[in-house]
Amino acid sequence: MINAIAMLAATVGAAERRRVEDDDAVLVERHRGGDPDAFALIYRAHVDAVHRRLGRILGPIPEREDITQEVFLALHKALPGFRGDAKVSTLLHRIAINRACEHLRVQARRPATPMDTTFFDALVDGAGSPERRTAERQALTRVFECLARIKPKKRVAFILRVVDGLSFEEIAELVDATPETVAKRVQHAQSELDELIARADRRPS
Amino acid sequence: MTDALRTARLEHQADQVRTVMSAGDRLDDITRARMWSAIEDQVSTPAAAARPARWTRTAAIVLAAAAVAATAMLVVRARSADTDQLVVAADATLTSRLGAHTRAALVGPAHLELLDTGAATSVRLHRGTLLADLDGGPGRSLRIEAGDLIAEVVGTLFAIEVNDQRACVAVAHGRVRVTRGASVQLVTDRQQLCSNDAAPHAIPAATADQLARHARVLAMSAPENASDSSSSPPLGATAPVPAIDVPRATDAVARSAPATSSATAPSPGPGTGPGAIPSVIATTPRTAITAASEPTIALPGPRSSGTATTPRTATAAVASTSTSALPAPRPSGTATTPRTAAASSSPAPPASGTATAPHAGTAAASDPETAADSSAVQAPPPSSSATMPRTAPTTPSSSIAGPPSSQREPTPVAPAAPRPLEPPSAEELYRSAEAALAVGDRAAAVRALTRILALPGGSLADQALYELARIEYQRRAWTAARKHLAALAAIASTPLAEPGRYLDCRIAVEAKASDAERCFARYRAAYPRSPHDLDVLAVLVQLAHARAGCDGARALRDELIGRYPRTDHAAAWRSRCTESP
Repeated sequence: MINAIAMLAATVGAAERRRVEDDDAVLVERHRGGDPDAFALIYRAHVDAVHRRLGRILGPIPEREDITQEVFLALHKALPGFRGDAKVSTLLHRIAINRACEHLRVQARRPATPMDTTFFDALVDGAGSPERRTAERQALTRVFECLARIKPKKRVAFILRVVDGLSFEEIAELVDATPETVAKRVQHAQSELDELIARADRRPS
Repeated sequence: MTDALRTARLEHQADQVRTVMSAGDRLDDITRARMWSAIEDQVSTPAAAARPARWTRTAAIVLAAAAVAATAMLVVRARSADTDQLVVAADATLTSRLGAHTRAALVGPAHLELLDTGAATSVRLHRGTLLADLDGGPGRSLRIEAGDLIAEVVGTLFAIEVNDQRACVAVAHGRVRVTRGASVQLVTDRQQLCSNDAAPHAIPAATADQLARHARVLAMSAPENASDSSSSPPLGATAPVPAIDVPRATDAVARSAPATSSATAPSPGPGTGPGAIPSVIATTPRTAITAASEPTIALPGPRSSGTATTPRTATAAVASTSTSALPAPRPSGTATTPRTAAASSSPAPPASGTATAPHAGTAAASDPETAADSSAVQAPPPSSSATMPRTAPTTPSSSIAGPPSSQREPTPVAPAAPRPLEPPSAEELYRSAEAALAVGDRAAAVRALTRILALPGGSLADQALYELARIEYQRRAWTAARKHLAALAAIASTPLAEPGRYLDCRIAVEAKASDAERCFARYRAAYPRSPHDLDVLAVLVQLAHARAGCDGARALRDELIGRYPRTDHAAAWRSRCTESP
């Protein structure tokens, strides 16, 4: 019975997703037709997902808001030429990933600034001892810093795989690469991260 | 190491990556609405749809740089791969933006290095005085390295000065965290902390005066900056800007002369080094270059009624800059006569750059001696110097070849009447409310937000109402919160309408109001694609279940599971009400 319910839920879920996609197509048409509210509805439907996607690629950085805005402005610019070959959500996430990569490249050229580790306070176990909390926070900070040193394309593929749990095919569609390439990027990123963390662990704090 | 161990380690790392990179995933209502407001501003402007070409933006910045030169604000902007440098000569003040959220005045002689111009702006002040006003908000911060001090700000007006002996941080309002070696100290309202101080102390009167005047100047620049932020990148943004290698005002005079004669050869392309000077000066209108030959620029402020003290042509140039870029305060009538005369007899040439790039900055002219004072110490002499302005020459040519203003005879004029303080704008009040909330001063935040509601025009009234409602909600003052939300609902076409209604329904639930279920049902009907839909649906299932058990909640429960099958809510309701009939 549970399986039947799960199947029913999956069917309903798929139907709902189709409905949202249909809605998106309708909204795009309305937007092209000059409906001033249509773009607001597209924004409302996708902003959380875009913000989340950017957060997962870039981490808890304050620029996320600005980049989210840029993504929607880019979508607004792209919609007149949008032929509907892909879903609006796919287009949005592609734009978001491109912007995120661009941001990572720019950041890589800038001198590193010490990050505000207080952000991680909320993530560590509040019930632990101060030493334990400090150690946990340092570990999370180290992971973030090591991730930041991985090249954007590899980092994005790795995050989409590990954090979002997407398949290589789904990632390939988003980053415009083959699934094999994506698999290699994920593998390389994982090895690099492992090595970077090991090296950071060996370094005296 | 065995494969099993390695696998375990990688899994642990993956867990950590998931923890770090999933943090702060959820958007709050006000952030969502604020982002939409910013997007809507840009997409609803036809000009924004066709963004200016890169060369246009470059030209705009070049022209802005020309305007800077025209008002003798001599800025060295040496670009390298990683950093930008701002160098302001003695007797000059650069008023501009640092990053997207900070308005600042850099009083020369000064040298500022821009490290990061993102939301978390970071600069290094090597020398001089920096007065800055950070428009606080989530994720925004300003970090200033000054000598052995590091000042970190989240929304405040403050000044920071570095000279050969020490660095000082002075705060007008808000709070600045100053790190010195291993120690961290907070500098709060009307306090100052210097390198050689053990603890913060009260701001000297002169510094307070300087901060107050800059608060007015920076406040005046705010609306323009806000309205035009899309077309002109803030200082330190990515657009190329030619370097102006003019470290001193006197050098600028010497170098600008030949450039004047070759004004027909503009070269607005990005300059890279000293050779770029002519290209910048070449785009400068003749009168503006004349103005550049007057090394008489000082701190803008009430005393810069001082436009009366400058030669006529310079006044014209400054006037044209001031109106389009940053309106200098216009105190009393003593300053207006020469200014008006200059404008009418010798109208300023079109300083086109200033119109296209209002963030580039400006300065008001004043006495060089007092200007030198202002740059030598952190606070210039108070407004007494304004009562002794120097006479403007009578012909435009005299300002080209005439003697420096320091050699002219002073003409006493009547002292300026004290300038009444302007009431704060809605933006300023909102910033102060944010700053107050950031330090937990709820009462001050409520006062500031309530004052916004009293302002004519209703600017930011929706945000103020929403914030007031949130404050009351946190206090569990349901009636007061719902009253603010009712007022918010009455405002047409606000991006906070949906979050406001959502909050209203949440309050209805928490207050156990009889209309809670109906409120959320109507909310869903009004906003079928709301980002809160999952939460709303979950609450509705909960309410229906409390009222009528699993049978009564079945339809909503099925909808929840159908729409959001992979969520925790779906899993919970699957196990709680196991099957559909």
